[in-house]
Amino acid sequence: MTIWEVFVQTEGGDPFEHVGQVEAPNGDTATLAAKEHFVRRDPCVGLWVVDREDVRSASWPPDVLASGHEKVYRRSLGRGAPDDVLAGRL
Amino acid sequence: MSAGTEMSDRAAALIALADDDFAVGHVLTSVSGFGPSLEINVALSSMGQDELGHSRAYYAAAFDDDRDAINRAIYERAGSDFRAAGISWLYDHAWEWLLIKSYLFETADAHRRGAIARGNDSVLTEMVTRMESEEVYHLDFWRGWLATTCENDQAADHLQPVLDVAWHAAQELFDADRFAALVEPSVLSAAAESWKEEAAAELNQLGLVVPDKAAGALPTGGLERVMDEIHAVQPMAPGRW
Repeated sequence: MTIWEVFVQTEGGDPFEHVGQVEAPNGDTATLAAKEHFVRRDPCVGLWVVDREDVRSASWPPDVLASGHEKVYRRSLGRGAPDDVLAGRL
Repeated sequence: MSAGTEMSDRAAALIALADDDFAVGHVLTSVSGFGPSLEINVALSSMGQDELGHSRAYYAAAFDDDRDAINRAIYERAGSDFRAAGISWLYDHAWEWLLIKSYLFETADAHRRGAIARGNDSVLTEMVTRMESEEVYHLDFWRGWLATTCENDQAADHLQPVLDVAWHAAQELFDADRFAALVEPSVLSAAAESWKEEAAAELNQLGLVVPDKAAGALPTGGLERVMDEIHAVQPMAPGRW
């Protein structure tokens, strides 16, 4: 049996959102399982299943993945910025 | 038809349709813990509730929405008065029995509903059309799982003996005596032939062989078991405890 990641699109134009997993031997039966498991009560317009084996994960640790907010030195302050502001960039 | 009045042929035929869906739905919800995976069990329960809802719609049409009459028809009728086909009562937890029963029922019922929808009864046509969005899934579910199960030769070997018994029994679903008031016998007969041709071709493609004659009688006991269960449930129905 294979684990399939399930994605649901609630309305046309919305992004597909991950809602969980199902276990099934192939894509057809995974779709059958996902429909009754995740959208039997809440309507949707799209349903994807993706073999977990086909998902590629980034291997970086969290401090590398979350480093974006520390890039204050990339802000361009222009001419005449006060010294204390310039000092804060370092 | 209201309670206390003589039953029309149309009402009797609607009740026969309802009884098939009631039996199939009750069994599906009852075996929903016995499927080979959690995912399948969720689907069995959901499809069973769909079928019970469809039966309720047929009963409502037969009894002019009289809720007491509908409840009496479900909970107080003698088992011998139910008019479901033998295959609808089949109550076996084993996956090979559930799979073959459900595949045959759903494919046959699709052709039967199609014949009904082409008739002149606009209320019934609208009703079966409304059911289609759920029935499409039922059909895909059983066809998909039959195809997947047949990919394994050992699993397919378990299915063939069941098909040998159930194939001919499923033809009772097109019994003209039960549905003459809803569908012209010639239309129903054409639907039956169309179903047999289509189902036999699909089964052959999956490596299964449709038998020339039945290899034995269907297992019995399903009707009695369903009766026991609904009579046990009746005292717990809303308003009764």
